Amino acid sequence: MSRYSRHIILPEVGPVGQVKLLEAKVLVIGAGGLGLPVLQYLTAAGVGRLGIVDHDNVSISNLQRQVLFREQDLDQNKAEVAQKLLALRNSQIQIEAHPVFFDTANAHALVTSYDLVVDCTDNFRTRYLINDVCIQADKPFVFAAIYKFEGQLTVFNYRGGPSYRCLFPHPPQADEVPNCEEAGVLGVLPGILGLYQANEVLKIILELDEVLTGKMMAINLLINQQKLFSFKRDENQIKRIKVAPLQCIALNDCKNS
Amino acid sequence: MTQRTLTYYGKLAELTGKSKEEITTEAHTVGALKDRLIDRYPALKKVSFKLAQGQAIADDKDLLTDTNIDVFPPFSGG
Repeated sequence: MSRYSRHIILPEVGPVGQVKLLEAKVLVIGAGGLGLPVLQYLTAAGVGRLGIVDHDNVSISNLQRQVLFREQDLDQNKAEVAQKLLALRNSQIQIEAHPVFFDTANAHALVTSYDLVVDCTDNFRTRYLINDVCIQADKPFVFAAIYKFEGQLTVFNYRGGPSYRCLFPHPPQADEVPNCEEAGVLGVLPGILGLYQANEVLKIILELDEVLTGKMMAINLLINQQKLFSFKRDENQIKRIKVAPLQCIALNDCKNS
Repeated sequence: MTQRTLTYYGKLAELTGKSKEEITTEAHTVGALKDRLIDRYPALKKVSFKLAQGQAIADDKDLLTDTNIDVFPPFSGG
């Protein structure tokens, strides 16, 4: 346990907390700008089992912000490359690559194999699917999303707290909000937001106070601003998602958008 | 008529052409203020956004109680 000695001397962690980390199972969906810093720090922290979901390959324009990846990793699957490089950093934990697109067919099996989920994706379709399957499987998920110089961070579905649909009930139209590819993003932004996500993951596993539930943190790096906005659980949204098959909700949302 | 300071986040700053502005409006509810904003910036009609006042995200039916209003869309990037 000496590799975790700086954790263990913290009263908030201690040997008991480090054992909780070593026994925790975390699924990170998306191994890009947000997902990689989450994974790097959870690996170092000794989170016992990490799952990585990403169907995409490393591309040259990723390297500006996805700093785990190397030039020699281009055109290889992101989940598999990340698994290989992270395993070199901590041989005592189990790291699993899932080189698949997270969809209605595999969502439930993936999510129920872990204790909690980290949403590091880059599109609304997957974000709403993560929300819905986490409601159905009763798993908390740590959410972050970015735009140019700004970020949003919160923890959804944690101990009876609100979900993403309590904030935004339906996905926006596909062409309404541009992604990083279309809008651009400052390279450090997903790194900062990803570390905030890792921080929330550690607090949840360690059962520390003040998990960021029912509050959204809005961060703007250009003007050095951070604000917290509170929001409430909407019981109707939770009930609606709990009873419907995932495929049907996804289809209805497509019709709405 | 009440003067309120609106702060726009993310893409809304681009759609409105400003990150902050003061407007004078007769709107008493969050929903009415949203409608005023859509009248003022028709591009907002096709966009999801939420208003927050006093550090709390508000529902359309809530009364406007604060002069500072934050207006933000969902982000998707990762």
